[in-house]
Amino acid sequence: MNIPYETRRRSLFSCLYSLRESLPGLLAMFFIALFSNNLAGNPNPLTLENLFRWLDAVIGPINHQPLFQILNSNFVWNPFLMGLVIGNVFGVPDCWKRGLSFIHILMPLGIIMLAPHFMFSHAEKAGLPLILAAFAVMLFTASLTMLLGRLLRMDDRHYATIAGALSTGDPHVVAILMPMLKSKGGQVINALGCVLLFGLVTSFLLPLLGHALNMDDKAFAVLSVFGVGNTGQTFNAAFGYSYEAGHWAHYVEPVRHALMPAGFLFVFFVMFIRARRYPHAENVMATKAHKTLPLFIVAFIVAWIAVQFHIVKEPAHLAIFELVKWDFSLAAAALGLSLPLREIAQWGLRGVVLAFASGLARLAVLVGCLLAAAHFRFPII
Amino acid sequence: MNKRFVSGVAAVMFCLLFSVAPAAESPHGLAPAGDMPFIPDLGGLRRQSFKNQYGQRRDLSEAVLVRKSVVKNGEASVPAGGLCYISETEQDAAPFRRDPFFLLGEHAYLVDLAQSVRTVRDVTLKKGEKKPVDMAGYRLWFDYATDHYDLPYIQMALIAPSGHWPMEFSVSSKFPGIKDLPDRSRLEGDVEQLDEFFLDPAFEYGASRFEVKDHDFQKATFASLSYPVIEEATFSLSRPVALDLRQEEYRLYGAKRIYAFRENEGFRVRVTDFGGDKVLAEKVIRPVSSQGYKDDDKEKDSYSLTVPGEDMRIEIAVQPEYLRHSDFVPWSTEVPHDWKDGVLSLIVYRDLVTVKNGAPWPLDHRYIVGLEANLLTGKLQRLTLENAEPFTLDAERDAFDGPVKHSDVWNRPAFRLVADDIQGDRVRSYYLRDAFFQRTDNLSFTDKGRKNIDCFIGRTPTFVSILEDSFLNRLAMPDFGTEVQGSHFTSFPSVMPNMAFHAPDPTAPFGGLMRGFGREQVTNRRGERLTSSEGLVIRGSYVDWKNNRIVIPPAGLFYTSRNARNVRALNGETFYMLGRRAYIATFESTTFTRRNFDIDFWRVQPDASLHPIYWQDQPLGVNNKVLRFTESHLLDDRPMAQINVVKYSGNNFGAPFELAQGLSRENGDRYYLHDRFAEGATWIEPEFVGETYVRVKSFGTPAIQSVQYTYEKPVRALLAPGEEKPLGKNHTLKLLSFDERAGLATVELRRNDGSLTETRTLGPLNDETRAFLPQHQRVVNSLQFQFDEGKNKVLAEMDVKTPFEKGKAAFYTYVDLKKLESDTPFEGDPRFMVRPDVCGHCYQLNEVLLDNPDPIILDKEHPRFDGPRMADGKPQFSIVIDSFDGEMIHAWHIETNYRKRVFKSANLAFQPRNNIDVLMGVNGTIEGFLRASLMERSAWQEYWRTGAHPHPERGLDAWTALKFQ
Repeated sequence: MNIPYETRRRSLFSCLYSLRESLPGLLAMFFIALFSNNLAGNPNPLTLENLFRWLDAVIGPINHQPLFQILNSNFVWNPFLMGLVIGNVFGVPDCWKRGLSFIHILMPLGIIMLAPHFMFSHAEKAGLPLILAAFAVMLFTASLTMLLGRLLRMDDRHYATIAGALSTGDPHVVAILMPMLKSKGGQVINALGCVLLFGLVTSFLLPLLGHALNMDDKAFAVLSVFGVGNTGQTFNAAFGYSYEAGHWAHYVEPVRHALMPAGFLFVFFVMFIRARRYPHAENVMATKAHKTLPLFIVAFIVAWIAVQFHIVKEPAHLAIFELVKWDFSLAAAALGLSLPLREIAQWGLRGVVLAFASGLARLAVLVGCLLAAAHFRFPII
Repeated sequence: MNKRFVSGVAAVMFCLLFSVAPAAESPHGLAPAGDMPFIPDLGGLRRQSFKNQYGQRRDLSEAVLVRKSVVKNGEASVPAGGLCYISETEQDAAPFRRDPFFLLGEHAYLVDLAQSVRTVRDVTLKKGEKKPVDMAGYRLWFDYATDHYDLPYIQMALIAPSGHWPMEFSVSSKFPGIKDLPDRSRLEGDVEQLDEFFLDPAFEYGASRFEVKDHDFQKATFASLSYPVIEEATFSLSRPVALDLRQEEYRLYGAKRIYAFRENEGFRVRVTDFGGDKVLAEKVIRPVSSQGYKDDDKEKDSYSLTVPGEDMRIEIAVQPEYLRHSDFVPWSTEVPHDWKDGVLSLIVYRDLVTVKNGAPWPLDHRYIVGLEANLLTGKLQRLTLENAEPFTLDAERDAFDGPVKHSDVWNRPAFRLVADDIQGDRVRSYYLRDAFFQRTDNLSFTDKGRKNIDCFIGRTPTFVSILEDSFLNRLAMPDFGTEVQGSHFTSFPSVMPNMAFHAPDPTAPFGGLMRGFGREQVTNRRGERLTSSEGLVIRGSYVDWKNNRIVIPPAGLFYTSRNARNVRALNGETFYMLGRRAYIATFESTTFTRRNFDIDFWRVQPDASLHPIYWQDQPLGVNNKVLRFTESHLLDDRPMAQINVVKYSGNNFGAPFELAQGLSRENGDRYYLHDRFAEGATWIEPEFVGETYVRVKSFGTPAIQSVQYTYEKPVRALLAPGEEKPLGKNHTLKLLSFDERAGLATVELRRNDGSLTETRTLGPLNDETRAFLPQHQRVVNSLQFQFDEGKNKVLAEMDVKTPFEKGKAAFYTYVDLKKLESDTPFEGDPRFMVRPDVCGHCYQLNEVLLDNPDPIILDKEHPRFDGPRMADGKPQFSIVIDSFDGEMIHAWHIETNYRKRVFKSANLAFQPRNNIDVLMGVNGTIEGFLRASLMERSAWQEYWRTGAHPHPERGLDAWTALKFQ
């Protein structure tokens, strides 16, 4: 007997699949998470994270940094990779799919829990001039990337995702933007690959440029953090230049981190307003599925503002971040399982062109600013 | 011609000697290059804590050390013994305790030891020398010599071949020994300075004994050095099999039967074949329990049965019932005594490996085994494997395999040393790869390369001893900037009410030398050169995040000024006083005594803020020192206590008191320690030494009340009777008469306006009184004449070096005297209290401390605090908070005023911190704090170099951590 939803509705959670329906998929996500990351409360030492650590130790550090850190191995990447391999090699049974759909709850939940991670006060030590400069570079990169994306006639969800990740310097922003922009899984991973590739190439080439320009250690650290982004690749570039630049990169990195929400919220609101202004345009896809401003984004913004007043202390933040790791591990596993490789490939190489064009323009602007600062003896840090 | 010939021969001989001597020297007991790379973590070199059969904690670690290597002409040469694997336990390992031990990464149990005591006689060495004393490579180190009453006493250490030494010991043949300590149990409270200075010619340290025959300041001869050595050790490489013992019955062990028949002396254990027909071994053995004497050579044979040719060693263990079939001990408290109840189990050890000291490693004859004993207990503490022959690495052969290890999978080299880029006299790439193929970073660190391939990989405690000569330079090394370790943030403010006698946060940044904090060599009137230095310590500071502020508790900020040894009167000695050189004039000390009190064993009680709670401390006067019972051991079940005197600064007094009662070498005891202790003017006489508390019958130590000093250099005056000499603007010194033979001089001091005149006879300065110089204040005071009051105070003293010259008497005159009086506000800046610290040996000024009596609060409205003001009114240093968000400190620094310029330190919160504890400048106090945290600081230095986070258990480490717990 088919009972209408309104009749069987008991609570907010009534819209979810029943446990019986979703259990296989949830278990698949759970076990992939268990074998991917060293998560809090997970005593399993046989994880992909540990395997990569061991391989790092066998290969030896590059520029004093572990290779898989440079390749961006982390708590999102590992379960995604494992899910992708399992899904594409063995396929995904239908009975898993309802459980995997929990990604749509896990992603927004993870984003809200990330709020205590972005503390503006952690950036204060770098000084207002640098913070303003970093903010300007971020908005410039996001705007330029979206503009170039349109010129390249790319899907707006795709280029907006690249814009968010590239401007904030964090490839994981693709995961944050996924529920915001309502991007396709293939677009998200394609964008991730583009930004990672750009970071990888520039992190090895940038030290050469730095030496050619005889840059100051602090200036090069700033260039690495805001020009390359992506923590592991930033440190690869900075330590590849000098130990001192590496240490200053550690110092400046919190600035990029603190500003990150402003970057992806900027991209979201640009696309959201655009979708409201052109509701019937066929090429406007990003955020179109949102009828109103999504609740989780409002919740994130409120939480983000609230944490600036130190209502979440550091031990609590660390505990919440362990939950974030669990949350994104499960979500990334679901994403990997539900993503055929062809869906990633179908978005082509235009993303790579966009990431490199926009990223190189950002580097050129940054180098110009830093050389000018050096010329006028303006203290960067 | 002859001259030329002789000088030519001499030159040739010199060259031969010079070229041969260094190559011939064994690396045993010597340190690697001071700037060698240290890598704290490599997965294949393990560091882990286990518990033995009695629940006692055993901290195990492994390391690889390369020392005395040279890179030359495209080759890296390592001498025999230069490549050394070290497996170490921080405590010790003994038979019958199931003590764990690492053998090249494999978890093993020590099951048997062959021990002896080596005695070496008539060893003579010079100051600074590390002289080999035996063929195994033990060295005696003459580190330091100083004096009391002008008589020398010396500090020595016995260095094991690996480079480890547990402590320095002071000995002297020039003073009364501990046996001469009179009964002072009637003394209580402050009494005057005592005449005697005690120092024993023999240092008794459990299983070790070092007796000096004669010595001066530069040379010492030891009558005998006795120390324990391990001849042979047997390990089991597998967990033992535990079988319930059934009386008059057998248990099956594989294809063998193990019978146990009860007899009066124990159990007759019989091992037979499967059918029980053929007896393989049989013996009466007694159940093993925790009493320490059972591993004595005379006793131990009664407690085990080794089956020849069958890789079996059987013991009978008394264990709690729930421990049956397991070697797990699931609780964390120590269980030093026997179980209350339990069951008997047959414990069968298998996979036995026996190694002999000085013999080749069984699996790899390229390596020689070294077994080093704990000098206190005589049990195994360290196993080393060293390359038997020298080797070189070059372009053709760029790797040298470590010793082959036992493995469950396949026996393979435990590590491999690789040097794959040697150019000329520099190596640009070298590293160590472990048995799991993991490698270190390139150990040359920079493109410049290195001139040797010395390194230390791993975390054995030997690291701390081996770096004694170079650790200060290493920690202050500016190559990678001022290292700042991020704090561990807690969910509550780490409040400390008062920080007197407490050390700073072990992760406090060390700023090293900084302009504004002086450090220089000074020379006294006797021509002795001493390092004088000052610094700043902040300790116990915390973020009170409930009130958005940073708090430095009372005594949490102190200025410290100290010389390389105590500061003595009558010698024109100087010390730093807020950036200026101050001349000590005189001092006032007493002896603080206590009797009949208890002192509890000190246990660290971590409250997650890294501040242990010391309620067990026993105060010695007000703000003077405290007594702390820091270590406890059982030596054949006799309790032994180590008690430290802790200074106001939080540092330990140099000599810990090692006490145990009822031990006697004459009666055949393996160990001996004094049942009371005296060093210099400090003594302790216990009524009872227990395992967790000591009842003290009598105790005494010096306390200093005040010192007087001046910034004006003392002036020498040579006066004939009737002659006068002005003392500053307001006073005049006049010699009335003198008697050179009696050593007397009568002088008059007067105000120039005639309002006050005093006359005094100084002396006598004869052999009798000289025997108490320069330390005894009664004699010092008899040679000094203090005059007038307040800011006009002046002083004249007899020149003790040359009191009479050409028919005249010689004096040194001091003007504008200032006073530092204990527990009073500092004259130059009353916000700070004066806490002079005294030498525990000799009543002299040891250190000047100025600290805050009230809490210092720093917040957004008050981000700056000025330290004590110098003579020009400017603060010597200031604390400046640059970025603080209410919970985390993101940026702060220290500013100093030096020669009209302001100097700023690096950001001392480069990584976010929850306190502003810091060590700035370099002196003995700061050295003490650094030495105590050397291993962790050095490890952090390495993390800082590469920007890594402290090493969590991850990768293979996470796996091994779980596998073996």
